[in-house]
Amino acid sequence: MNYLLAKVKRKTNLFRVLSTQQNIFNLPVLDDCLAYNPATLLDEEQWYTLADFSDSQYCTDFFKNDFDSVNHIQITNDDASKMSYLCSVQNSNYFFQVINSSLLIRRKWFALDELSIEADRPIVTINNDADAIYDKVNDVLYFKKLSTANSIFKGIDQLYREATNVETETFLQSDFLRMMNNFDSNAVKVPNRKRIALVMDTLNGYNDQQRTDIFTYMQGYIQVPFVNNAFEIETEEHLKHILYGIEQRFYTTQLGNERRIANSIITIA
Amino acid sequence: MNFLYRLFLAFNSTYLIVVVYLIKGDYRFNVLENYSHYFSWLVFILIPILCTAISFLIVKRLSTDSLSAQSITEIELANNSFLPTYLGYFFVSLGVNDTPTLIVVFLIIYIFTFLSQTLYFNPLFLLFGYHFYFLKTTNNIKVFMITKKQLKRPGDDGFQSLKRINDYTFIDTE
Repeated sequence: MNYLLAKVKRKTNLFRVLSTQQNIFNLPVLDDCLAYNPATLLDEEQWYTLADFSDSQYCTDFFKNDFDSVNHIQITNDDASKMSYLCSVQNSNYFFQVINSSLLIRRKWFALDELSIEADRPIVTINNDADAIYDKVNDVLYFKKLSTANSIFKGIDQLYREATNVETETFLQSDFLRMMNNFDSNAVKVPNRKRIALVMDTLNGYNDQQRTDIFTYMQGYIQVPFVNNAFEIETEEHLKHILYGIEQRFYTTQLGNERRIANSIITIA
Repeated sequence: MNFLYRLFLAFNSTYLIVVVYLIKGDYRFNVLENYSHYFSWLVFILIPILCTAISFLIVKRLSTDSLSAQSITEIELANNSFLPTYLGYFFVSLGVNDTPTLIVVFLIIYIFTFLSQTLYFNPLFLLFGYHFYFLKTTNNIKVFMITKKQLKRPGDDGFQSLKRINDYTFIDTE
């Protein structure tokens, strides 16, 4: 028996929606998965994984205990209109789907086998693929988009957080950077803030010689002026190139000498 | 569906008040007037039993729930909990002398049985081999369980095909 539960806004416990013999979500092919890394972008069929999910802070008692539908209160019509996500418990797999305005349909509709207009009867449609899947047996969480997963597992976006104002400020004041044209931390947008958070560890891992080497390497690729041992940053674009450079995202192909940026990287063993 | 079924169950569990009143007043069915009053009484008693039997047929159409054996932390037999309530009902119906009073008293008891939602005790379930238990789950939720199983030790028995009467009352249909 499969159970569909729903999270209602501003209420902690999940509510029971229905039980059915059918599979609400089908398990997709999970062969091609990558451990979550903010520097890696996924292909169409790929999933990010988070192993040992039960050890993470996002894992609540709901996942740790055996599932018992008895513990969940039947949802009322009133609460059903305030659902934020669905959770389908199918044996040891938990499927999640975030409810957004494209899935909760408040417009008029009619069923194809019963041709009469239904008004004021909102319906929820179910996607083919879940937004996140928790495999309890292997203790692995699968997801495709961190921001969507964050609507379900609050705080999981810390895996790829933005640098705070202080961190951004500190980074911009590094001795190898010089701000030009009033460019300051307030001008740094979310994508670069996220990159800064990632780059800080990498940068701290370099010794003086490595830092000199990396700056030389960067000059070979980026157009940002390097004056008096510092890059002169005027725009977000400059900053992005610096951040890519520190991560050594620039490379030249062996044949053809084509210069490239890797917008997604996977570390190979 | 669920709402109607709960109305029906509340009716079954309180209808014995009417039966006791009818017997006390020595009422008979018109068609059975020439027979001993025991025949009419038998019919009076058979009505709630039949209704209870019908309720088992309907229950299969309610939505299913489950409770695993490991999740039960406490078992408390509730078979006898209905007794004080029922004695109360019986004394009331024995004390009522006219039909209008009975109707009002029955309605009040019926409405509150329905609204209280925790008291779907129908002792007639015992005739069908069911037992009543209060079960506590690992989430510290206490549910009222109507089952044919003999529960003794927490962790021995789980339930895979429960039917939900309300959020705290379940019937086991295994």
